Amino acid sequence: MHPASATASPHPDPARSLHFERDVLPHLDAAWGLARWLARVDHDADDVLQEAMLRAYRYYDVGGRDNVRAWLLAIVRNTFYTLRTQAPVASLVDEFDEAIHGAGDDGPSPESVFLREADAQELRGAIEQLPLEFREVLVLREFEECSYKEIVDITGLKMGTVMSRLARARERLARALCTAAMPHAGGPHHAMQ
Amino acid sequence: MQCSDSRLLIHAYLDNELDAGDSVRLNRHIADCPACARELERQSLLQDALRRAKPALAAGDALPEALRARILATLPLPAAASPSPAARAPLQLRPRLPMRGWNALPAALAASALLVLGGGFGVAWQRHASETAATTGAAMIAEVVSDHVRSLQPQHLTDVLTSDRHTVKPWFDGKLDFSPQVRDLDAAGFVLVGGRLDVLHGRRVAAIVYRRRLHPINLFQFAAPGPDTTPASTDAGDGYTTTSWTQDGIAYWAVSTLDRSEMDAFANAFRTSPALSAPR
Repeated sequence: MHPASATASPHPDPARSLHFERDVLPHLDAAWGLARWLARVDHDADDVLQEAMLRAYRYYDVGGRDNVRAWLLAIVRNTFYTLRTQAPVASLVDEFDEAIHGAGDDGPSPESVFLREADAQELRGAIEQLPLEFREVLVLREFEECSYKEIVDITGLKMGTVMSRLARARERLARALCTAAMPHAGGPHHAMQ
Repeated sequence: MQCSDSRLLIHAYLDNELDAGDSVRLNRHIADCPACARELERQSLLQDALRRAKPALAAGDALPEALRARILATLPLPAAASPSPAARAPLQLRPRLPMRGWNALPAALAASALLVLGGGFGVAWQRHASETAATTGAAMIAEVVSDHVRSLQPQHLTDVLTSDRHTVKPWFDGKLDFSPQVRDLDAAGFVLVGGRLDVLHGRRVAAIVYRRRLHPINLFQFAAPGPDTTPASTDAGDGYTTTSWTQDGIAYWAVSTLDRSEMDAFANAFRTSPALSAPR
């Protein structure tokens, strides 16, 4: 047995496994959180997480990185994209929409009321309805509490793209919550578009 | 500043990602642009709503225990049930329950690691206790070496540090379900250094530490009902040697960087030394 070369053998390198256990396993819950938000279906998230952890173990390089959490989240994300059966839908990736953001009415803001009252269940539903491209940056920021720089590292997107997708994600989320809350009061809301 | 820029920077501002210069520019724009001011307020409300909902959402998204156990089982982690070195308290001469090391891991992880080992601590214990030391599985060897390596980190080797076996043995009283053997091996050239409680493959064990020249030897002991076996030393790779035997209902696992002949000598010296009969 020679542990140093045993990553693929039945006899693991104890020191390496120890480091993996100490450095990577504490982020298992974060990895699950991301897998769950990306896949949305528990069964798929299971597969993503299991495959991601195997990959993580395979590629783990003791002491090789200072942000193990971001590294693991990147693996989860890549695994998700790999396992995803359907190809990413390019049409969902809109460019930053000036029409939505450039206009606005100066009237009272009934939607503020709904944002104040939005509960966890509504938020979950609204977030899960977001297109993947927006959902992932939003989840990384809001639930995994990643910095913009970490999101850039995890997704491989440019900083400007991360920022615009985050803005779009939150804009859509706010709109979805208000639409859900006042289905018949689309007037002032649609005036923004 | 254009509204389109402002609508991006509002988020960076709320996320504390905006530098001072842009913050000033954004503030100036907001002061003159009611629409952007409203958007800032709206996004701020959304952020509040997300923060409020986060605990509930996180709870709903908790990693299922069965999945955690499945993942741990698929990874080759021989030490999955052991406390991590970071979790170990740098104590000496103070009793330390081995389970304390679990505190730094999520309790659920600890629980599921035990689950992997057989459905709970009691079950794991019984199962392992029924094995003899001679069941020299590669996983056990790997874990013994792993534990040895970990124990050599500063201040991890011993909790009770003494060359007096009459001090080491009573120190374990009440901490284990068996009475570990601490023997004077000075005559054979193995110096008693001390002892500690440890967790090996999910069970509480005593670790008695000896030294030969500059080589520390960890001698793990746990209850193992069954017939006696004779020592069998194994080259565990990377310069480590393990040897194991069973004597009088206790399984012994020794590990060090000594070569096999010296480990055999250690095992034989220990087996043939008189058991400590009357702790003070």
